[in-house]
Amino acid sequence: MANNKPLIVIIDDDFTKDQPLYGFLETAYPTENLHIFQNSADGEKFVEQHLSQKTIVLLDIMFNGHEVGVDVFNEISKKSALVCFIVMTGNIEQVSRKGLENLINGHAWYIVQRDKPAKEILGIIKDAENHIDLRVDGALEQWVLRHSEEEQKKPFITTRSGNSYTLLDILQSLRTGDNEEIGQEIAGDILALAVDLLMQDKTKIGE
Amino acid sequence: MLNVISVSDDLDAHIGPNCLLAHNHFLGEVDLLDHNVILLQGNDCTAERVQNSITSFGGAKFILAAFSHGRPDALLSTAEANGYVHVGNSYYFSSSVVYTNCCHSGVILKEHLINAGCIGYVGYTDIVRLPKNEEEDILFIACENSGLIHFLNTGASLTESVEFMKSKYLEQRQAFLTKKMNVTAALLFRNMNCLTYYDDGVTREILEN
Repeated sequence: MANNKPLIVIIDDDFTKDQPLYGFLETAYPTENLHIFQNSADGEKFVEQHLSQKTIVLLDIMFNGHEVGVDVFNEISKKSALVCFIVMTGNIEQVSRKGLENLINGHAWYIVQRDKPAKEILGIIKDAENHIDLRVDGALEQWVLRHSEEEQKKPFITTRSGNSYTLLDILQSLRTGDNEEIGQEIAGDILALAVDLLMQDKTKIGE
Repeated sequence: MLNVISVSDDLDAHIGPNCLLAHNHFLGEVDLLDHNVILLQGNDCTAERVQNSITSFGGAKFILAAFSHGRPDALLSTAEANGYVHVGNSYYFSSSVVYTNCCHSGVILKEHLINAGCIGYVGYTDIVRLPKNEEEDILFIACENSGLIHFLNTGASLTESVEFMKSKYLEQRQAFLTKKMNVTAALLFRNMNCLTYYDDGVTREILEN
């Protein structure tokens, strides 16, 4: 990705470039970052192939009367907790209780009525972008991916309780919570360091 | 005359080299030539050998430096999976100082040692993480050992030595940050935040027999 903007992936069987929202998106994001998939499987595959990039998914739930969007959400969430989902639905009452539970428990960023004004939906997307930019786990994921494949496979840290972790273990942990949540713990350590540095700050204020 | 036991599980598949490095660093920084020092490594890192060593001191005060794995209720070694120091043999540690870089021992074992009459303890309440390369490993070890070295070389109280240790951690953290090794700095800082100690007013002078 040549820019630092997130990928905006729209998975919606009714969405076209003619819609006002696309026009708003074009003003806010480079065109190469915008990807529309009317076929949910194609959209899911694209997101999975770009897990190393910051991604916001605008996801329709109902495809031909079926809650296909919930399945897409569940599948991608299993592989990465770092993709940010904005769920769009024509009528939230159409979504089953089970489907809503999955979306809420899986931390979908926002559930929005699709007939909301495009400008309002763009505002939600911007909020999601800020959210991604401020996530330490997302930054740590990018830090891991900055290293070569060879470096990622080497042991990076060990513990005096008997475990060793590579950068790939940390990456997997960030995405799935595996490996004793080492990724989340390191993200917490980085945050703790940042907070302590702020507390020690000696910036001079005024003259 | 100081009585010192140094346990180093150099057989461990994961952290054996680190334990040896920590042990050698400690002995390289403190002059113990004229003292009663018992070094336990490899298959000698057992509860029996530790207990026999303590018995050989004839009730005199001693210091145990332990470099190995740990869990909340024990210090572990390859030769003694159930622990060479554990809640069951903590009564051996009355009038002792226990200084360890093991994980977790500050959670349960620390209290048992104190209840048994231990007069000083330094250890960690959580997992202690280490970089997997020798160049940075030794910098982590220097921080972990700094309290013990300060305690034995200066005559300070254990509390003062732990304060010195914390300043050493922060100094090294800053050195990592200056080199833009920010993740490593965060790992080191985490270890410092897991540090715990107990001081019943002990100094080196009090330990001298």
